Amino acid sequence: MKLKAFLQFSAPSNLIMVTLMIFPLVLAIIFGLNYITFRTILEPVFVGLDNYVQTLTDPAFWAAMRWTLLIIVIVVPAHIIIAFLEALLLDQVTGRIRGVYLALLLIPMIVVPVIGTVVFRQLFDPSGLIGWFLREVVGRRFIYTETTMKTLILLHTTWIASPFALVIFFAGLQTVKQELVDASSIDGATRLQQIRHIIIPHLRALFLLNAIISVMDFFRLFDNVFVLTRMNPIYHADTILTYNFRVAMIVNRLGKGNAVAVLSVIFIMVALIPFLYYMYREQIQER
Amino acid sequence: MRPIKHPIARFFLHLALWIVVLTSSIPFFWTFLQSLKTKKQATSRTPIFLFKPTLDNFSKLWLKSVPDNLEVLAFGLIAILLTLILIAVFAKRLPVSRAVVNGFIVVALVLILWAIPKFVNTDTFYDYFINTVIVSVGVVLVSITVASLSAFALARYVGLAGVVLILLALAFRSLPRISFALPYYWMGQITGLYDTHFLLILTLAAVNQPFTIYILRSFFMDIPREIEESAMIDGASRLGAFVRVIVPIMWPGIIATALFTLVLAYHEYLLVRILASSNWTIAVAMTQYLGGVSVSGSLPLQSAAAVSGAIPLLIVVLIFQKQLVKGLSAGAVKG
Amino acid sequence: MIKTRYLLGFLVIGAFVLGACATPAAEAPEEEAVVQVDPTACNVPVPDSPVTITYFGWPFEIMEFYADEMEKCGEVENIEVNVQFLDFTAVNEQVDLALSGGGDSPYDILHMSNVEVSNLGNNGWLFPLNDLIDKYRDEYDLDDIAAAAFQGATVDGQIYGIPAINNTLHLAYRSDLFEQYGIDVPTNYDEVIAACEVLADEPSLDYPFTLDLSADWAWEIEFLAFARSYGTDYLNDDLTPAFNGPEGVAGLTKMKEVVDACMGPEGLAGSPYETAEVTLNTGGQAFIHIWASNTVSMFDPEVSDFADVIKFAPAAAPKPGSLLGGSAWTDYYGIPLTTQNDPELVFLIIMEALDKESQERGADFGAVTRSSITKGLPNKPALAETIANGVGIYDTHPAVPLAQAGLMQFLPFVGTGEMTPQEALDAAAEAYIAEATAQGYLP
Repeated sequence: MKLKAFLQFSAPSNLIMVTLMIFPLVLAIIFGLNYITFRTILEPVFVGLDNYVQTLTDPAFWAAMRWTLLIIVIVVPAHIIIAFLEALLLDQVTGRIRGVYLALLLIPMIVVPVIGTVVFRQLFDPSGLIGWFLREVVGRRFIYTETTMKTLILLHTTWIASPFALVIFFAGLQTVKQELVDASSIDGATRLQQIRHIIIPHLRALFLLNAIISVMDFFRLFDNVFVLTRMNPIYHADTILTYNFRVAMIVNRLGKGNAVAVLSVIFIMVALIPFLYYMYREQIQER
Repeated sequence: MRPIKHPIARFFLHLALWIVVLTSSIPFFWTFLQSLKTKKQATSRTPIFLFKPTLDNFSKLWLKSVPDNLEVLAFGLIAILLTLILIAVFAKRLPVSRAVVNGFIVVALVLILWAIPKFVNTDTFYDYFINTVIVSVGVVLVSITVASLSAFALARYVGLAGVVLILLALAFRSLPRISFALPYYWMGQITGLYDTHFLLILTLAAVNQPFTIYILRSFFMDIPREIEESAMIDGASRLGAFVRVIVPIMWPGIIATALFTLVLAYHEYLLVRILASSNWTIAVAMTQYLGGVSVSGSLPLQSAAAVSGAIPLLIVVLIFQKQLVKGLSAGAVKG
Repeated sequence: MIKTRYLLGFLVIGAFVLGACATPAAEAPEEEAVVQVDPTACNVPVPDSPVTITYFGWPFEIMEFYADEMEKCGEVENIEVNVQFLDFTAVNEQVDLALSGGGDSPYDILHMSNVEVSNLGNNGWLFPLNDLIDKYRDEYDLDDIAAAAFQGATVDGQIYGIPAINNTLHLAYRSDLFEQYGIDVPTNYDEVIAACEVLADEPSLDYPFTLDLSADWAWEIEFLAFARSYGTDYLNDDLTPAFNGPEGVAGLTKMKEVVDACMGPEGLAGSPYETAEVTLNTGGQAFIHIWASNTVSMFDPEVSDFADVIKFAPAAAPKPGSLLGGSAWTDYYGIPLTTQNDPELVFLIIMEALDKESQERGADFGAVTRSSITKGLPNKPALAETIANGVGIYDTHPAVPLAQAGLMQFLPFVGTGEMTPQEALDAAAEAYIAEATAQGYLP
């Protein structure tokens, strides 16, 4: 495809995307370089890189960064593997029941997150289902400690992230060329070998897609951490955005808040570099 | 993949599937049970599984006052919906084409949604639900149309412009939602479009473009160039080849992405809260039941709100997963 | 086949457009013919042209009652009332967002607690109500509402809110358990600790007693009570921190003692107000320190298993003999400065909802603000006593939120023992000084 055709095809999308997204990005950069509170919003004071320096020298910021990275390192592979296995399992089922299974597996994604997270937290209350189960059946009352809270966050994030990856993998599995699989069977390949040598390479782009999307999403993880921890610092479970909320939003320092936002963008883009490079190489090869 | 035939293996397979399905869905089924209870039953220290269900929470949510002939109306509505379902299922036997049947069902549903307030005294939650339908469907239509074109171009074009576009799109997506709060509020006020469906649809479509483009691009890359190139050799324009040849092949992928876009628009909380004050969607409206500092909130009411929000989406997923499950028509994509 | 595809497309888009056009943005209320003058109805003058009044706040029983009263004004010709509810945090974020830019406000009636009135008033975003209050003082008998309540909404002499409800933190307890174990109702926290030790082995309980210390802001609210009871406040007159002095440390140490005796580190996280309310109602706790507004369910046998034995008492005093440990909160109705409607009309609508006749009916749902109304909920004596002899309201100075923010960051670590009270308060003071200097309150 030539450049002109490319621009023509992407014009409508570029138009709405750039007009509606460039303003917030530019404003975030500008605000990040100023001292602003809600009260002084119309009279910003230019402070240069002060907000950035304050953030980057704050040990709490780096603690939040470490925990966010830990979440990414654990949950990204975990939910991808789980979703892939689920997709393989689901593929084995035939008939109408498959649709029902799929819909049930998608439930964590379907419930509105603002209320779904609260409902999830309530399961662990003394009167909640899991709270009761642990108290009466297992014998140990559920207690929020740093460890249990962090485990809960990891579990919940995996739980809500898997359905999306499942749909992607499942749709991708439908595009596997049956003839290739059959041919390999005739050649004596076991099921495991088929998965390893045909299916996984075929879905390579989708693995990459899920990885990139989830890395970006988990960097910005806020809602479930906010709801589950109630912003209590004793859990040391601040992610970058809850850290931001704690030090910038509560005292109304919009400049600092936007500095952290811009830093998140930079960090995410840096983290994505290896993925993007791989993606770019793929596209060259396709040619 | 060919199905596993061995019975013992099949047994373990189904067992594994059941375990996974249960972990996914038990919280929701529990919430559904909770929504049918009274406050006392819902907060009981020992979970109650057998009880006399009540629809009070749902009626408190959806209706301002309960009409006397509620049963008659409810049965009427159920009868109409069942008829529509039967029409959908037996569409093949009807003398009209599939598309007309689908169109008819859509029109019928819209008329039902529009007519319900005429018969019962609905509460604002119903209006918010209508807003949600309008905004979500609008976002899907706008977003998918515009993004497929762009994603196709990105899949085919190899050059710096493509890379720049993807980087820019991903950079936009990396910005935390909270940074959109102030700029979008100002934008809404300055353009005078604050609190309109139009602004909501446009904004949500824009904010979801990077995601949609990126996913569709991955699906498009799977399709060999030869397919549209052979159509173009036959005289079609690139756009024509795209619409007539590529899109039908890509349909399951497009449906999957449309589903995600629908879910994302349906769930959008912060932007809707910022850009609208009376035209909320239910994602925003349901937060009023959450309680909080010094406010008790009602557990069954929250559960009813969560279930009310989830059920329409669930139905949509159940309807459209057939498209996903159907798979590709054999032979269109060769090795 | 192409034709049917287009047909389908047109049908879908058409249905869509129909749906979008057919749904008005806000529905017009039904007009009811009011024949006789009804004191419960809205009696405001009819405006010349149609107006839409938007109410914005968070919902609980009494506020929903007030909102319903205001909605009745929609029956007056040319007036339409829109009630928008969200949760507490969202309301405040939205209001900050909407009012900071200086453009037209989308809201006309704001529901605010005294902290928000103070913030928004300090920012100059609220409409001063002094003149309107004077004008309608007699007609609506505004002297019936305590002057102290108005004080909480006054910044630099300007009154920015009309008191709607009173709220505070006080004790709710299981009188049957107290009787069984021979415990007198605690009047100070030493007695609370003693009661916890007596009840420690009661098998039906998760914990004998909890304060809400589950969130950062919850710690700060309790700390205000303990600090003031021990004789200090957050800031000195020159705005330097006072809370990390010996009295503050004593107060925080007492809090830690209560945590250790009654809750344990486990109880810390599991003690939010809503959870405590449910646990008391279902028998998992013996007594709790709770908001008055959270107690409505406790005397309702439809909700509480122990409605007949739960009784209420004023908050215990952190320092024996000193002020009671419940801060006074009032929720107000105010008007943004940039409202698009006539402030006098909006004021009258608020007045109609807060008039004596309405508050008489509202007293069934919560603690209303008119002193002339004698009836109230079962916890009214405890509420009144705590407000009268408690630690009072937050200061309205704009530097106070910065002190609160500093405290919120470090107080919770005292509960787990990660920091000693002195360390936590010093760290909070440091954070406060940094922020206050940056925002210009300290040199």
